[in-house]
Amino acid sequence: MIWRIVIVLFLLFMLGPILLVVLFSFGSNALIGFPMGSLTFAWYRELLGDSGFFDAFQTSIVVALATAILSTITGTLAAMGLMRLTPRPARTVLAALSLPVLLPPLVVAIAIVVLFVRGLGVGLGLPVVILGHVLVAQPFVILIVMARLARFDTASLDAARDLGATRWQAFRLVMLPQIASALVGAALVSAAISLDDFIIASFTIGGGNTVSTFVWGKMRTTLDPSINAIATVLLVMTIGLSALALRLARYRE
Amino acid sequence: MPALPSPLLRLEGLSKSFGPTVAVAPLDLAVEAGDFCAILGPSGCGKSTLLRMIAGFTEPSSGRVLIDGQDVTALGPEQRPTNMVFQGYGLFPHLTVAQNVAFGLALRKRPPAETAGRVAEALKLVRLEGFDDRSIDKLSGGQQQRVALARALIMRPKILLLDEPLAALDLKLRQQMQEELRRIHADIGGTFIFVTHDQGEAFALANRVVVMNAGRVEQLGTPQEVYRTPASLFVANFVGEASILKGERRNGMVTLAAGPEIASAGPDGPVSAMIRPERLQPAAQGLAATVVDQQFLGEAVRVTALTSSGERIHVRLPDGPDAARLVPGSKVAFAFAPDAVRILEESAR
Ligand SMILES: Nc1ncnc2c1ncn2[C@@H]1O[C@H](COP(=O)(O)OP(=O)(O)O)[C@@H](O)[C@H]1O
Ligand SMILES: [Mg+2]
Repeated sequence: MIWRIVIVLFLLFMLGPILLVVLFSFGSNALIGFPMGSLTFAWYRELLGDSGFFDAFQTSIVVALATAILSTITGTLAAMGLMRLTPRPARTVLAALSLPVLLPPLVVAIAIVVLFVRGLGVGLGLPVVILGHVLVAQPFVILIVMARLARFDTASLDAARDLGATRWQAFRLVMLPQIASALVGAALVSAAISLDDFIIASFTIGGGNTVSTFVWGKMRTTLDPSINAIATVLLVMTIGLSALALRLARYRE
Repeated sequence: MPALPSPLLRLEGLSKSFGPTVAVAPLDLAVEAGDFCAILGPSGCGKSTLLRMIAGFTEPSSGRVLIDGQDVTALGPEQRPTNMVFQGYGLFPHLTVAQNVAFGLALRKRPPAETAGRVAEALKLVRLEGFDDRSIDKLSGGQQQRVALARALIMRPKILLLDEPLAALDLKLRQQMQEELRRIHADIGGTFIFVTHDQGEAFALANRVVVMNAGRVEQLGTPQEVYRTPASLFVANFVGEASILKGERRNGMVTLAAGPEIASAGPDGPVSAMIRPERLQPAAQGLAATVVDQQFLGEAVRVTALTSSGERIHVRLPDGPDAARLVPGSKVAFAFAPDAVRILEESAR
């Protein structure tokens, strides 16, 4: 009995703030707190009318999409290369490629700024944000695709070649359809990682906003309940993407 | 120069090394059209590597592959008139049975009506009529094997290559598939080359056997030749059971350490004599030995005995009163016909 109470309290402590954010996003009271007033979609409507938010939202979508596409391509190529190596060098290379995940995002952000902006003279901006997100998302793609390739029967590629397929046809007609759901899953995970990020984006974006830097800016000036609405939108999107990715990568094969 | 009748497949000085490992030492081999040829050897002796060089998956380190007189060494697998049944089958799990079988024809953009006809024909050949729309993972091992066979045969290859085709099947299914393979070979009149480490399978299927050891061809012949007159001690031991007795040749007469003398022409020096177990019979006199073990095999009895020189001999005889007397510890003599002995020079290892 006492354990149940502990568990309930623990869950409330963890999920409580999130539930409150979702709840307040539908409350009419401008002050964040109880009583929250009547049910309203006013904060969402306000978001729609806010051109600052709209731009940030668009930017986030573009960055997430680009991150998803690029990291899925580079991660898949890396995974296919790693599968060809013998286990020992493969482990070393994988560890090196995974470093951006293990390092604090702050360090990754600083490293990118130092190398690209100070070192190579590339201006801050979306391409640099995307690059940073690819660095962090790519290891997840590699792991997801490698797990799929481990169960892939390479004899089926040989068989396709034997039946007259070129290397490219064998990849497109035999390998791609079999690993497609894992690739889509990996792309969705990458998009979720990109949407989630604040630190790398804030360091490298220069001008403009992603949704997360937009919220950060807003929080510093006002405590506007429309932030709750933004948080709820982000929550639904990242959970939705991750859930979809899990389903695709694990069950649909 | 008069044109020699050329074999369907000719390998000239073909070899393959992986770094320091010599998987296949330079070898020459000819396979005639219509042959059912077995490449037989222990695991790791280079059989798969040889087969993959014929198919075009592995680039040889030296030598040439000629099919129908045409040099195909530089061609990839998609350009060779060969098709292969892979060890793990390598089926396409995302396609149905019919789509798997049609894969090669679809790549060649054959008209749909022709493809449909040939798929039906191929499925009939391997007795999988009505399985068209099944998915691959709903098939048993034997059925998957048949799909792999149909998928290769539909291409009408000049040579069908099979890598350990029956190794993954259990005994009953394996015997059934052996019969099927012989029937299919006869039905289409094709040329089959298959790889196996199982001597029984090689003999059951093939009319030509290539015995390989450590990357080299030890012997090429019919199953009877390979069994009765092995070219080396390796072949004698690997193909079936054999008693190997040491001896010495002087002036055309071999004297075995175990006693008997056998006439055999050749240079003086140490030799080995090989006798198959069914060619030894208990008799009043001959090769004297002490029985150490007796096994009941059902249709026969297998007896192991030690000669006076301490060499182990194997005897196989029908179950009956003769066999019953050969209990462990009994002293007996075994007789053998002169043509039952094969003398192998020491140089033949
Ligand atoms: N891709 C490869 N790289 C390195 N060594 C290989 C490769 N393929 C085969 N070998 C080696 O070549 C030898 C022969 O292998 P294989 O042809 O597969 O033998 P078999 O089919 O008779 O069992 C083995 O020693 C094996 O380890
Ligand atoms: Mg093999």
